[in-house]
Amino acid sequence: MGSTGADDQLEVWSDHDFGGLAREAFSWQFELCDPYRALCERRGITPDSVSDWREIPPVPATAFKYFDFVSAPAERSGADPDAVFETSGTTHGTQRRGRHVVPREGLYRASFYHPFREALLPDVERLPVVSLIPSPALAPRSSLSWMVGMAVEEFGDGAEWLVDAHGAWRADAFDLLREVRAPVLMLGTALSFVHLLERVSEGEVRLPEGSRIMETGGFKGARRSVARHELYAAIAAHTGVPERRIVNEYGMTELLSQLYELVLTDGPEAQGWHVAPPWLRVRVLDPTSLEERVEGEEGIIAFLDLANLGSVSHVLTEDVGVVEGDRLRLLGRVPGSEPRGCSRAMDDLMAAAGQSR
Amino acid sequence: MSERHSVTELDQASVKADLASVKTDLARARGPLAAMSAVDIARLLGRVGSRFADPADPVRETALRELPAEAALSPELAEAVLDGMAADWTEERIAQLLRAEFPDPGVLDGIVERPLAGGGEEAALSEDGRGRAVMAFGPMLCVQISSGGVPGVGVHALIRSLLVKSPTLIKPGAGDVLLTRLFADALAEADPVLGAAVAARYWPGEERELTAAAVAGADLVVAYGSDASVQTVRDLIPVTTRFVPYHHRFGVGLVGREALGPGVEDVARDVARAVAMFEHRGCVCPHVVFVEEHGPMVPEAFAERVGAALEAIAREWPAAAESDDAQAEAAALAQARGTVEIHEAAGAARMMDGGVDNWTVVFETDLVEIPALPGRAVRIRSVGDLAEVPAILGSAGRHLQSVGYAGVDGRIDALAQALGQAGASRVVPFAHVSFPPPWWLHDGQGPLTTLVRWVEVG
Repeated sequence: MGSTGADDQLEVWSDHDFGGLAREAFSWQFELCDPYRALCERRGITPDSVSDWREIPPVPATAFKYFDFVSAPAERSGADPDAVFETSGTTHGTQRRGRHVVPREGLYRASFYHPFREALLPDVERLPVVSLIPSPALAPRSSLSWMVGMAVEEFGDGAEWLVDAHGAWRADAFDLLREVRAPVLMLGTALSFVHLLERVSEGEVRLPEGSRIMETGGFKGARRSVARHELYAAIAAHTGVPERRIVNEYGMTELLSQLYELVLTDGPEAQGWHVAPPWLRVRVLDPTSLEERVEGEEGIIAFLDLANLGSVSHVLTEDVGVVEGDRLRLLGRVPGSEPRGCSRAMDDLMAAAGQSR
Repeated sequence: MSERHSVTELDQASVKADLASVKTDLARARGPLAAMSAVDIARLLGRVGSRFADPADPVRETALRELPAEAALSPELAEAVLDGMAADWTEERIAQLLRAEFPDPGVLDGIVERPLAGGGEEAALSEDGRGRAVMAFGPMLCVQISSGGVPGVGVHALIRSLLVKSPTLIKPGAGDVLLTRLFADALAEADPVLGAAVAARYWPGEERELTAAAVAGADLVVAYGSDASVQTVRDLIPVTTRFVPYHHRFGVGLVGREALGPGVEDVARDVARAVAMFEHRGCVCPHVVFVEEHGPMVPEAFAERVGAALEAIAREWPAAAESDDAQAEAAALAQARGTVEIHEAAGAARMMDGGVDNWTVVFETDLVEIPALPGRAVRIRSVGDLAEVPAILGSAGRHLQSVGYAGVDGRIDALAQALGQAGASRVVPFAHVSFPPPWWLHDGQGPLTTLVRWVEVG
C-alpha cells in the first residue's frame, strides 16, 4: 500500500483488531436490525456464539431489494435517515431496485475520505473537479453521486458538473473541456467515458499534466480485460491523461466503503488490483458451499464493511474475484447470472395471489 | 460450447454474405419441395427423426455424447430430454401431427374441395353448385429464431415448417445448436430436396444486425424466447411479413384435495419431475403450484413431499457438472436462497432445498416477494379452493402456458374453462406437462395452421 501524509489511517489492521470491531458491529446490528436478527437466530448464531468474525452471517446483496436493513438506535428509529441509496436497476430492466438506508452519513464520509485521498490526491491537497457523474442534488438516491459530492466538498477546488440526472451533456460541456488550463480531477463511469469518446475527437481535449481520472463501474458484468485496456487507451488519447493516471474505483450501493487501484502511488503494476481500506475485509467463497476459498483461488466475493454499521456489515455479492492479502482482483459478474425470463410476470402473479388471501 | 463464442471479432460482413447466399439457395429449394406431397415429407421427416431414438444409430450416439456440454445438462438428464423429444419425431407421430392440423393433407399439395365448417352438404355448395375449394401454402421462405435452454425445440420448429413445404433458415438457441444441426445434416443425407430446404446458422442473439440480415426477405418469421428477444425480432420485421411470436411463458400447477390422500407420493413425484425436467428452463415447467386446503394432508406437508421427490430426482438426473453456468447458477442461488431465508426467519415462508443440489421448494404462508430462484425451483401456495386460482392468475395470464393438475376429478372441465379464460393454453395431468404431443396447440395456436395462408377458389 502506498504511503502518504495521512496514511497511518490506512495501515492494515491485525485480524484481532478487525475481528473485535466486526463482532461489536455484529452485536449492534443483531440488536437493532429485526430482519437480520431473525436470520441470525434462525441459524442459531448470536453475538455470544461468534468467536471469529468470519462466522457472522452474510446477507446477500439481492436481499437489499426486499428488505430495509436499518441498524439505528431507538431514539433515531422515528427520524428520517440521512440518505436512502438505490441501485440503478438498469442491468435487470424491469426488476426492482435495491435500497440501502443510511441512518447517518458520517460513517460514509469518514470511510470515503482517506482511501479516496490516497488513491486520487496523494500529491496535492485540492484540485478542480470535472464530473461526468450527476450531482447529488440531481441524483440524491445515487450513492455514487453522493460520493462525488463529498469529493467536491473535501478535495475540490470548484466543480463542473457536465451531465444532468439522465446523463445528458450540459450545452457548454465540450467547450469547457477544451478550455481546461490547469490540472483537474475528472470523475466518471465507464459508460460516461464511452459517451465522451463519441463526442470529442482525439486531441481535441488536452487536460494539463497533473490531471488524473477516476473511472468506476466499468467492468462489472464483463470479463473483458481487453475492453478495459482499449477503453483506457482511448480515454488517454481523448483527454491527454495517460493510462497510468487513470484510477479504477470499485464500490456498490450496498457498501459504504470503496476499493481503488493505487496506480498513482504504486505505478502500473497496481492495475487490476483493488485495495480495501483496513475496515473492509474481502473474502472469496465457493459459490455452492459458501466455504472460504484459499488465497489466489477464484470465487464469489463477500465483504465485511465496518462502515456499514448502520445497516448490515457482512454482504455476499454475485461478483467473482481472487483475493491476495488486502488486494482484490475483480473478475466481474458470474457469466450468465441474469435471471431468465420475465420475472415481472411472476411478481404480478404472486402479488395477485397475495391480494386474494 | 464452441458455438457460444461471440462474433464481434468475426467479420460481420462475411456472416451477412453467407446469410444472403443461404437464402438464395433456399429460394431455389422451394420448387422441388413444393412438388413433394406433404405425406411423403412427413414420412421422410419421421424416418430421419427416428434415428435420434435408435440406440444403434450414430446420430443418437453423437447427440448423447455432445448434448451434456452443449446444453449444460448431466448425461442422465440429457438422455431423458432426448428420449422425450425424439418420441415425437417418429413417422407415426409426425403423420398424426399432419392429420391433426390438416384432416386432408392434400390441401398442401393442391386445390381441394372441402365442406364449409359446420354447414352440412348443402352449405358446402356455393350458389352455382360448386364446392368451396381451398389450398394451403406454407411461406416461400421461413426464418425461425429459436430459443436456448431446451434442446430439441429447433428440430420441432424445422419439422413444422418443412411439413408445410417452407424452405427454412433457422437460428437455434444457444444450447440447441447441436440437435438442430444433426437433424439438418441427417435430412440432407436422407433426401437431397429436404436437405436443400434447410439451413441452420448460429449467431448470438445480441448481434441484432445479423438477425436483421437473416429475417430480411422472409415471408414468415417465427421467434421463440424471452419477451425482450422476441420484441427485438418483431421490431425488425415489415408489416407485410407474417410474424409468429412464442414469447416468455411459464407453467403453474393445481393440486386438488382429492390428490392429497393415498397416492400423494406419486403426485409429488410427477410435480417434481415436471419441475426438474430441462433444469426448469422450459416454458412448460411449473413455477407455482397451488395446493388445496382442507384435504387429508395440509399443503405444507405436500410441499415437503415435493422436496423429497426432488431430492430423489437429484440422484436420478443429477445437475450438470462444474461449469461457468453451474457457478453462475450457484451464485444466483446463494443470493435467492439467502433472501428467502430472511422471509423464512420472519415466518412468512418455509424453504426446503438441496444444499449443494440445485433444487429449492418455497412454501409460502403469507404474501412474500422473492427473487427469481434459479435451478429446479418451485413455489407452493395453499389455496382454499382451486376455483380461486383462475382469478389469481388473471394478471399473469399473458405469460401463462401449461397448467398441470392432479386430484380434480369431476371439476376439470369447469376449471379448464376458467383457466383458458385466464390465459392458459394447456391443462394436463402433471405427468404430461413436460412433453406436449407434436400437435399441441402451442400457446393456443395450431402448430402448422398458424404457418400457412389459404387460397380459396369459388
